[in-house]
Amino acid sequence: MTVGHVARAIETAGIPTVCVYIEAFRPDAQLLKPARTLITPHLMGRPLGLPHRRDQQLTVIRAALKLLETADHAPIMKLFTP
Amino acid sequence: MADSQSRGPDLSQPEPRSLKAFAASLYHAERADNYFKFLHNFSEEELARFLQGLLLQVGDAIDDGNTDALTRFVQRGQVAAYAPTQTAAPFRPDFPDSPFAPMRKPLREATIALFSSGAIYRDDQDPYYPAELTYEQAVRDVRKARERIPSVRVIPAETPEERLCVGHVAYDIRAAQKDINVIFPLTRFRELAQEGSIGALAQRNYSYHGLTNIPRLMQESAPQWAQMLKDDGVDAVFLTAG
Repeated sequence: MTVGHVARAIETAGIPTVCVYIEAFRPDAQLLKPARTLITPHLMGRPLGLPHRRDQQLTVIRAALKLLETADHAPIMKLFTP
Repeated sequence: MADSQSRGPDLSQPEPRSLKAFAASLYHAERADNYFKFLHNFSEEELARFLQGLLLQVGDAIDDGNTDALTRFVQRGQVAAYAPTQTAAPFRPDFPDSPFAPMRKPLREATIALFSSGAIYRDDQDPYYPAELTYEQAVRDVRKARERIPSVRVIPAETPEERLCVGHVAYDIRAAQKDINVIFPLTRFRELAQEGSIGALAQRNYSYHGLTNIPRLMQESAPQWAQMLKDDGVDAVFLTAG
């Protein structure tokens, strides 16, 4: 959950970031306000989904990268919908 | 009848006094189970409802040969269990602002670094808990993790998956042990670079143990790590939380 602190420091240094958080930790991300957050409906320890689901992992990553590229302000939080 | 041959409950463990006591024992205690430790946040009645629902879902999953609904049920349980606990605190403040750095390059030209709080390390690096502890002991000693000074591990881009380990003591690591890409998608990013969707995966990628000394993380480590990424010359950072 503390990754939001790290993302804020990286953004402050001038480097854009995107965080992937699971839905259970959405309230935490809402407080820490990293610049761009993708919320996934996945289980703890599995923010990109279940093991060996390559297509699912790539879909999450592509959604996060789209957020990285298109955000024009912060904070932005999006719910990943498969 | 093969019931007597099948694996039953472990009778060597103490009998739980109540559902609440059982749930408490999952939380970094004698029955430590990071997959279901969230149950300790439930009231007795919520626990009963969750466990009954879980049994129904297990029955359907067996009959249908499909675990999607079971997975969703457990995920909804986690969301419900953590909702009341995520409140503002001195080191989880409700920040009024949000630092913002725009992307300055198209993705297909950008070098992207991975950064995870998931406690990933290489097999030739130290794990994030003291060497004198086993992983199971470190899980039960979770309060100590909050006192440890944050430390980061550098994961080179070409590291083979089989050399990656995971040592986080506060989330269930079994999925990451089966496929590290569920939290640290090094292989997926190599594939994205190969197909040209991103310019490159950064040579140096990073992980730390998210459960750590937060004041030190905020005041010292995070700004230092940000400077390391600047020195690496990366164009963007993809972060994951366990």
